[in-house]
Amino acid sequence: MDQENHDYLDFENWSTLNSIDQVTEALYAQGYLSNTEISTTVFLAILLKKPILIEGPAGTGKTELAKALSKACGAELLRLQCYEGLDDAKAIYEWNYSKQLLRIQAARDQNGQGAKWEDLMVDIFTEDYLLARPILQSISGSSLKLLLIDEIDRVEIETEALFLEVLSDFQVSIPEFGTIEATTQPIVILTSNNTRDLSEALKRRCLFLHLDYPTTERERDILTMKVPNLDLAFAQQIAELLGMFRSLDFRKNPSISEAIDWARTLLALGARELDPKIVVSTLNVLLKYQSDIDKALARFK
Amino acid sequence: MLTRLVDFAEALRGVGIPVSLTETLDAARVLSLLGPRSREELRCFLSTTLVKNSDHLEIFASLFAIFFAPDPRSPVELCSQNSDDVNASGILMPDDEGLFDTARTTLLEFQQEIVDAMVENDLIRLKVLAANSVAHYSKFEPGKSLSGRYFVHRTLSELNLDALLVLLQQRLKSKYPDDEISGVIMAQVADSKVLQFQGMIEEQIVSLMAIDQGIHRMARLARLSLPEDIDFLRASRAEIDLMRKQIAPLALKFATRLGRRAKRTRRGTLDFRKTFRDSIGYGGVPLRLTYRKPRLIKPEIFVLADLSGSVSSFSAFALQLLFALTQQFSRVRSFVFVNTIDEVTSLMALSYESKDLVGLVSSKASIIDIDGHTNYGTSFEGFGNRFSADVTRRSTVVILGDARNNYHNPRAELLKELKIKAHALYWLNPEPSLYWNSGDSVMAEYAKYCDDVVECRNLRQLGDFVKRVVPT
Repeated sequence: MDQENHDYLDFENWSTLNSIDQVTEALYAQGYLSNTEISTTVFLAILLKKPILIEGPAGTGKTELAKALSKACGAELLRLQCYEGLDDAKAIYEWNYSKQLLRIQAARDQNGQGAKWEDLMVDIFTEDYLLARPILQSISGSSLKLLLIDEIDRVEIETEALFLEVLSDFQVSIPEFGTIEATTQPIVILTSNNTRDLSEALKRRCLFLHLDYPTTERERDILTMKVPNLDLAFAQQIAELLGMFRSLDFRKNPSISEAIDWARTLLALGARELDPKIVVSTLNVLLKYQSDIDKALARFK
Repeated sequence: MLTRLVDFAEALRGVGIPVSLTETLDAARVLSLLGPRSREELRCFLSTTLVKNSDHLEIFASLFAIFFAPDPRSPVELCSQNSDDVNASGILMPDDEGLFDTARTTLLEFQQEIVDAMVENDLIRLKVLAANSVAHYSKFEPGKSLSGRYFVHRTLSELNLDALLVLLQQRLKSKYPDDEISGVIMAQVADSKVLQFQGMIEEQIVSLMAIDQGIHRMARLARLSLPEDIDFLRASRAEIDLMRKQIAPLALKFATRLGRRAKRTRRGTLDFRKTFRDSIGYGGVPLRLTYRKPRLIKPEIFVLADLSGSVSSFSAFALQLLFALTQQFSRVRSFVFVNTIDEVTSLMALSYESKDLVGLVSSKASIIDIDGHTNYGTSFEGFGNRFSADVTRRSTVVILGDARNNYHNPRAELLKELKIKAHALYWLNPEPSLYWNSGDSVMAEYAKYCDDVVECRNLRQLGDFVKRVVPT
């Protein structure tokens, strides 16, 4: 099938991303090295207009992907960081109580004895008195937006339900006001560190992407991309060492971001290849538990 | 294609992966909008729409290999019109033109060729070589209802992977500098390359078999189950590794859930003293009622684990899970026995994540005397003499074992004493409840004095049990 020509699809907002390969290229231009799985999922999300749920260990580039994608398609990034106790007032919208109060007070001052309640009520429950939080922001306005719901596994399972309406229908219902529908559908990305199982209802509405630690080749390319002056052979050595570390059952596996930091450290110390002395003295950049460092050192003896 | 997709979704549901109608529809929509250009792309299309849990991806991959195995006679037909994309088509037929000709090529030369491809990381070439290995060494017999493992094993042993590994290491040695770190890395790289090649051979055989046996028969033969449904007592080594990976996330999930529950528990009783003090500020009107913080009573856990050969893998899992949850209990003390009992709490605290827990524990603790057969009676006696003074009303005792006592004296009265002292006494038995009390199993004798005897054959049941004992 010809992938370049999907004239039956509505791509007005996504004009630059209309094939899997173009997704890969656009992400690459933003400094994000994709692979088949990532590009395919992103493209399918665009095609089906569905949210993406990204799961995987910490530091494998989940949030980075959202940032790169927002730049790649010129969308404004709206980030909702989840935490225990997050509620609709922080996630969706909130009435601006103080402004409403001022309005009521102002009405009284003008007339001496106060305006009719019916008029006032119609007045104070309008968009002027609404404070839009990330979810409402993402569906209002005509420009393209990317909504990033970060670490959704941190909210309680009951709170998840808040997101369901926006995830499947891209709309928000406000009792006093009616339903606000998206004029331009946002791209939605959810991330999870898998500390608990998400509800089936939420998962069903999303496409799923599991981001694991990269293969040696991909990690090598990420390193050469992110660390200036790092030559390919050295990057390969570092990536292979990391591959070995991740097979060792550490308490916390080194992440990609830690690998990048470590590569920078090695370069700053003047290393041009893996020198055992420098490796041993800088392991604490890569490994964050003493027991892990001990385990790694034991392997080298 | 659509029928195949529906069958595939059905098979996924069959092994316990929840695939809803919406998700199948999504997959169908994708396939109708985009023709996958390669098998890899097709795999991505299906995995992203159908599977929503990373623990299920491995089973998905196995079933995908069976359901979407390309026809060896026209390898790219199923997935793609783009026949240049050989790499992604997944399966290749051995070259008839004599790429591999037994008359001319010896095993050593063939191995050298594989090693060359590995060093150059030439995946396409490796796939061809894997197909060739299967064609020449598996002695594949069409129509025979054998498990795929048989052919995999035959190919691998004929190919002599150990020798291949040595060859590869020799070749790689020149590429790496001569220091201790590089040596370790090199060994790891060699291992993973050989493993990758092994995977290709397995994939090739699965494809051949799927075509020979038919998809549905093959899916049944493969007997796939989710990690949480694998039977402890029948798990293969690979399955045990898979299950081991589940322990830490499982513990993490419990801990998160329980931590939250503890925070949300109802308010405690009225703190009269503090309420009264506060009321002074409002002229004696108790405007604000203060409640005592609810105190979470954490039980102390005593685990007595049978480490004899028959049930050791189960005991190891249970011990690891309970230890990973240490924060949820005021204390976990663990004891292991075969026919004498010993405490291993400090050892467990240091190394509960260890791969070979059973080996480690049995080498450090004295749990077997001359006899060498499991004896619950003597083990309980030992526990009674040495440790039972520590068991109080706050202790929960958990016994792990199959209650197969080798016709020794069960000494159930010792368990009765323990039961009277402890807050609760649970017995986890890894055997199906159908087998209890058959042969030398004396489960019923012990069950009299247990608060509950729980069948615990897989991680799911183990998880359910842990949910019950942790404080709520």
